[in-house]
Amino acid sequence: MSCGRARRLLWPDAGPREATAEIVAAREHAGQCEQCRRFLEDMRRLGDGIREAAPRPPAPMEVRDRLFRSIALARTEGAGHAVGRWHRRLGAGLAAALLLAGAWLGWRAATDAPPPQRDALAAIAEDHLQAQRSAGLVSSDSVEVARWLRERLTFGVDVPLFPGGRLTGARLLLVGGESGAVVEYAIAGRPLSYYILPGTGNEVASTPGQVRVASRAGYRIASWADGDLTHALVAGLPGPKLVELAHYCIEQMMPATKV
Amino acid sequence: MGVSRARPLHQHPSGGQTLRPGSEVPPVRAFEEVLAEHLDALFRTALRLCGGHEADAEDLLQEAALRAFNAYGRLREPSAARSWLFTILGRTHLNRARSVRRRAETVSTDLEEPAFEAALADWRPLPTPAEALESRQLGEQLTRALDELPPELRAVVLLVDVEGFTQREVAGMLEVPEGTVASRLFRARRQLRPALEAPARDARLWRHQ
Repeated sequence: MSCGRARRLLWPDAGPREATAEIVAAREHAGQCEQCRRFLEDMRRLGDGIREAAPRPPAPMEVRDRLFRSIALARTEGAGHAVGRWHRRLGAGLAAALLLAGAWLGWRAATDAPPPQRDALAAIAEDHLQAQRSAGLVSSDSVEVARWLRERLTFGVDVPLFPGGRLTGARLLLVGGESGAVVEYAIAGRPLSYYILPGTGNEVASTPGQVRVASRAGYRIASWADGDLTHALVAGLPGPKLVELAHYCIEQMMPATKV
Repeated sequence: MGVSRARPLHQHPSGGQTLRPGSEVPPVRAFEEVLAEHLDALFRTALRLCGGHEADAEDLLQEAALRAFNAYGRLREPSAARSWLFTILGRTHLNRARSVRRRAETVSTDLEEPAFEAALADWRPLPTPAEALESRQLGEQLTRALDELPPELRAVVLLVDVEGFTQREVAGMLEVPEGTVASRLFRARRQLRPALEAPARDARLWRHQ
């Protein structure tokens, strides 16, 4: 058997293979041929060397943000918008059908359907996407921000300051007919939103001091309950960092309480 | 809690997080959650597939992610999500590369079996088997060498050697025979070999001075 044939049959990394007579002969050849033995060893070493030396950069945060925004847009507007004319036509047809179906469902909902399930975290993630377009207070003064919120809400809000973070302002969030607060920060050049909403939901940790991390629309959300209020931090930051900031909130700040 | 949700989570698999009451089907992970888990690996693969051009890599990743989002409801085996995402990324890239190559009118780069066996037989062994390749300092050098590979070879070596997929998995991803994957992998490693050898050789020369 030639060295080329033996190496082809014994090519490494190809997975388990049936031991045919030719493969058995190739193994016998490799057992006696120093050059073939070294070839197989070289292939393994090169594979290992490439695996170890290849750089493994993480996806930059701005790439990640833009990617998840485009998916959020596709989810909102119909996923077919980006993949061609035929898909757009199909999308238009589906949109018309959905409009009709929506109208019918709306009529049903108004008559006899039970109220839909609610997901506070999905609402928070969607709101985070819209945050930059909302009107509110632009200020880095925590006392001014707390006062501005107090004048507009039925509960008091303490405005935490995070290590390495910069307070940028606050705004109101209307959810389910009730007002909530959103305090905005910038940490390492990334926006961070701190939500305080009336009410608690199943998706929020209910044990005092317990922080739950979830993902919605590509963002990680660290949430916790405090009395009748839900608190959440949302940002394009790693989960452990969000949890650390959440515990900073819980431990360092006076809890926001209903008045 | 008094907040409204954009859509019922069980309405579409790509948004699914919860179950209908009484359902025995395991919860479906949101598409974004699955994508986030593999995003770094997908990005670095896209980056190398695009020769290190970050804007092109982001375009490729965007297109692949939107295709995956559209098709997520058809993913039957959630545990295969990683392989499935890389399949979409690889095919999206190769579609783009083929489109460019059609315009440039280049020719196929695959070896026939006899030529492959001849190339295997011509292998010149690495200097000393016991001498480990000094790979820890080779990142930039290997990156440059990867970027110089033809797209088909680059895709295979990234998927097999860097991301750890088997040759059979990669054959399925790229819709080519396993023998073609083996041939491309061999040729890619042969072209990358100098990038991995040079520092070791330089170090030996330095020690002998």
